[in-house]
Amino acid sequence: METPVKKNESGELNIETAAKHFKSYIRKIWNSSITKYFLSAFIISISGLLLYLIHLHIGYQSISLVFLFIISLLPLMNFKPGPIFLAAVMSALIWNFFFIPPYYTFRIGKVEDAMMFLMYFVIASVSGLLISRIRTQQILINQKERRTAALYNLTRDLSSSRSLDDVTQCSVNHLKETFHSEVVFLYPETDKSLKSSVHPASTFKIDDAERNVAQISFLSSQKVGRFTHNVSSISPVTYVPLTTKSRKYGVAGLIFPEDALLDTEAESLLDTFIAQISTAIEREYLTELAKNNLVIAESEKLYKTLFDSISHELKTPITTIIGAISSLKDEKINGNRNIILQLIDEAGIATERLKRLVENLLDITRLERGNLKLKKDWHSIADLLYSSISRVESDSSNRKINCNIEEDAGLYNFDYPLLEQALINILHNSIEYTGDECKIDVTAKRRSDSIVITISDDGKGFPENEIKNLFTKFYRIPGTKAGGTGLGLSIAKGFIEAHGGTIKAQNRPGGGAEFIILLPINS
Amino acid sequence: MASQNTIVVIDDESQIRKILSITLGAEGFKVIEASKGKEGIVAVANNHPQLVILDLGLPDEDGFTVLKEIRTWSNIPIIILSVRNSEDDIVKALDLGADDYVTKPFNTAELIARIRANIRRTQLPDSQSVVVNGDLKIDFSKRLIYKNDEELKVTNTEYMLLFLLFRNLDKVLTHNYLLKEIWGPVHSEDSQYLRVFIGQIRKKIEDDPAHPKYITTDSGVGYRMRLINN
Repeated sequence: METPVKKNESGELNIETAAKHFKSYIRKIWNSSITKYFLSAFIISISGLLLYLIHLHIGYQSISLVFLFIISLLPLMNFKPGPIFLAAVMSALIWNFFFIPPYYTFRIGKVEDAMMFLMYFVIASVSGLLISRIRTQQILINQKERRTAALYNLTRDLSSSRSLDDVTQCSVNHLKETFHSEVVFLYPETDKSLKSSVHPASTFKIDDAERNVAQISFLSSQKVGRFTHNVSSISPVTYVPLTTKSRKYGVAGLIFPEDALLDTEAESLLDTFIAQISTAIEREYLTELAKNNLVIAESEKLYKTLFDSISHELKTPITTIIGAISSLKDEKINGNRNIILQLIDEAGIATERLKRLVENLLDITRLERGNLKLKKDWHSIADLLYSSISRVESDSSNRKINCNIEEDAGLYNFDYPLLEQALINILHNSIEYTGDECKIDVTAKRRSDSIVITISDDGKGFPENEIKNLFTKFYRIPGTKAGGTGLGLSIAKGFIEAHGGTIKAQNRPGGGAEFIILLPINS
Repeated sequence: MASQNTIVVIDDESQIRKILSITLGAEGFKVIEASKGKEGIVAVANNHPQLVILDLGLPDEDGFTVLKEIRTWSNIPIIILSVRNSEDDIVKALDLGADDYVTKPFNTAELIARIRANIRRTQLPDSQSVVVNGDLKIDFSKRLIYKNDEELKVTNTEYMLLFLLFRNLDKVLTHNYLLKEIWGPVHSEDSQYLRVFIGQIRKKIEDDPAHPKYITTDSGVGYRMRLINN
C-alpha cells in the first residue's frame, strides 16, 4: 500500500497529499467508538470539576440541569447511544457523590433528593438517546438528499451531453465526486472483447491482468472485483458492466477509498448511476448509428446524382451526333445541301460539348490527384484574356464579350493553358446562364502586388444563398437549365489557386453576377 | 382536328430539339419545340399536333406528370424518348398511356418509322372486322385466324393475345397490360404465363419461331406485332 506521504519526482514533500492523509487519519480516530467512550467520560469529568468550583454559588439542584444540557449536546457531535448512556450514568454518579449532601458518599439524605437523582438519571438517558436517534435520522435524511441530488445532477448532465466522449467524461466526473473513487471506462472493440486501452477520460490506467478481470465482467454482464463475489480477492477495482436490455456497451471500473464500505444503499445508488449512464451511452450509440445511416444514404444519393448527370451529359451529344449521322443516310435529307450543313453544324457543336466534358473530367482528376505541375512561363495578360474570349466566342457565335484591359497589365509568370482553361470555364458559365441580350464584360487591372481580373454580366445574378456553393464540385444551382456537370467553376478555382491566386463570386450592386480573380505578383 | 404533320417535341436539351426539328423538318413535319413540361402541355393544347415526342427527364416536372396531364383530355399518340437501361420507366410510361418509346441515342430512321407507324394507327378505323398483316389475316367477327389463307387452330387464350396484338399493330404492349387484359389484375405479375403462350403462338404463325418476324420481344418491356408490308 502507498505510504501516506509520498515523494514526487522532484523530491519535494507532497504537502497536499500529506495533509489529506493526516485529515483522514484524524477523521478515522474521531469516528472510532472507543475514542467516543473516552471522550464522553472526559467531557463529563471536566464539567464535573468545573462545576465543583462553582457549586456553592449555584446550588446542587442546578448542577443537574447543567449536566443535562451537556448530555443533550453530545449527539450533535456524532456520539452514539453507548457513549451517551455512559455520560448519563457517570454524570448521575458524580452528581450524587460530589454534590448531593451528604458529600463524598453515594448515600442520599433526603427523600426528595433521591427522587431527583432517579428522575435525573432517567431523563438524562432518555433525552440523550432520543436526541441521538433524531440526529441519526437527520444524518440519514441528509445522506439520502445528497444521493438524490447527485443522481439528479448526473441525469441532468448526461442528458445535455452530446457525444460518447461527453457522456464518458460526465460519468467519470460524477462517479468520482459521489463515490470518492477513481474511475475507468472500457469500451468494446468487438462484440466479444474490450479495447486494449481505456477511455481517455478515465482517471487511472489498468494493466493486462486487470483488463482480463474487466473482460470477465463484460462477457458475463455481472459485477466483478472488490465488494463482489467474483474474483474479489485479486482486484482492488470493482467492475460494473454497462448494459441495457438490448446490448452490452462496455465496463466501468471504480477504485473506492481504502476504508469504504459498499453498503446496500450505496450499492443501489451505484446501480442507479450505472443504469443511467448505460442508457445515455445507448442513446449516443443509437444517434451515431442513425447518423451513419444518414451519411451512407447521402453518399448513395450523391453518387446517383453524379452518375445521372454525367451519363446525361455524355448521352446528349452522342444522341445528337448519331441522330445527325443517321439522318445523312436518309434519301430525303442527303439531297438537300442546306440541311446537310445544318446537321454537320449540330454534330460539330455536340462534338465540342463532348470534348469539353472529357477535358473537364480529366482536369478534375488532375486536381483531385494533387499532382498538378505548373509549366510556368512569361506571358502577356492581355494575350491570355483575348485568346480565352475568342475561343469562347467561337463556341457561341451570337454572343459578344467586351474587354477592357489596362495598358500596363503587363507580363505575368504562369501556366498559360491552365489559366486559359480557368477563364474559358468562367466565361462559358457566364454565357450559359445569362440571356442572349446580356452583356459580358472582362477587365484586367494591375495593382502593386496583384493582377485583378473581373468577369461580370448584367443578368439576374446568383441566388444569394447559393454563392457559397458555386465552386463546389458537381454542385449545380437547383432549377438551372439542363446541361452541365457542375465541374467548370470548381476546376477554374482549382487552377487559379494552383497559381496562388483567389477567385470569388458576388452579385454586383446594380444587378448581375461578377467573378473577381486575384493573381499575386511575386517578382 | 389535328393539324396535319405537326409534332410537338418536349425535351429540355436544346441540341436534341434542334436535331429533331432539322431531321423531322426534312421529312415534311412541322416541329414545335418545348423545353419544359408546362410549356409542352400548353403547346399540345394550342396546336393540336398529330403526335408528341416526350422526354422523361424534364427539369420542372417529370415526363410522367406531363403524360398523365395530356392523357386526361387527349388520346394523341405520344412517343417517349428515354435513356437506355430504364425499362422500368418505359413500362411505367406505357402503362400510363404512352404509345411507344425510343431510347437515346436513337437512329433517326427508326424514330421516323415509329412516328409514321403511330400516326397511321390513329388513322385506322377502329371497327375493321378483318386485318391483314403479311401472310396473316385475322377475322374479328368470326374469331378466326389464317396464315396463307389456311385457318390456324388456336386456343381461346391464344386468340385473345392475337386479338390484342392485331388491334394494336406495331405498338408495344406491356406484359402488365396483356396479363391484365387476359387473366385479370390478380395475375399482372406472372409474366411467365405470357412467355409460354407467346411461344406457342410463334410456333403456329412464324416461319422460323426462333427468329420471329411478326411478334417481337422488347426486352424487359413487352411484345409487339410488327407491321409487315405486303
